[in-house]
Amino acid sequence: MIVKVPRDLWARIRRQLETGYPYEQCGILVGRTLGADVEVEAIREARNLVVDRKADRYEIDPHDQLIAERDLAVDGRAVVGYYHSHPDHPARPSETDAKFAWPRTIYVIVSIEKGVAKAATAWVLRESEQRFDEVSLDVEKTE
Amino acid sequence: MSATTTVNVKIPTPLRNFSQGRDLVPANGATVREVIDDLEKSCRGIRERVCEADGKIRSYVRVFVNDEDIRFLKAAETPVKAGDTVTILPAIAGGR
Repeated sequence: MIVKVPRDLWARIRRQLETGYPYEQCGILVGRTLGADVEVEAIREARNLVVDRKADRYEIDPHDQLIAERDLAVDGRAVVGYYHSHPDHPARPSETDAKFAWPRTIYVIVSIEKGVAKAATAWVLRESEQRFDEVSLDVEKTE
Repeated sequence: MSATTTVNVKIPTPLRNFSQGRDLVPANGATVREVIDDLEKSCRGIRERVCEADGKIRSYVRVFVNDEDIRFLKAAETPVKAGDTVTILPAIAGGR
């Protein structure tokens, strides 16, 4: 599976995650599944509802999900996944990420070191074991 | 007759394997609980993913009636009207 993100959307994601450092930032990916691949066509920045541990936890405001479903997931598009930052931490899913993960959903994780995006990865849940498999994240081949 | 109230239920991507890929499924009921019970007839298995055994909405599932989060209404007992949209959403959380 390849997750393709247009460069302009990737720039928006990166800007949000870097601007929000040192706190975890999050958002919603909307697009289409084409064969084995997923093409992201829109994003919605989401509010992180976590108050007491927002440097290392996130919970997407469901109102942002509702708006993404209503306004962006139209004309054959669907909410295909979510993204969040790991401030000063590798771009790999944590136990917390796996514990709360859903199947058939892409999770993009971006490592932000000292306020700058350093690495980005994409993952899908292996449902039977509640753990992740990494998939390819392509931010270059689509415009 | 309230029990025949028909609403549209929006199914989130992770649960569309229960709805044969459909994103919008009609269901009947006068409350969210009744709607989900009815939804189970056309989307076998979805109820267990959305509700606890006692019918309460699971802690990691969010349900909206139109634009209202039912946690701030009457939860599963929130009434619905004909033509309402009931949106089921996965709670998305995690962190490093």
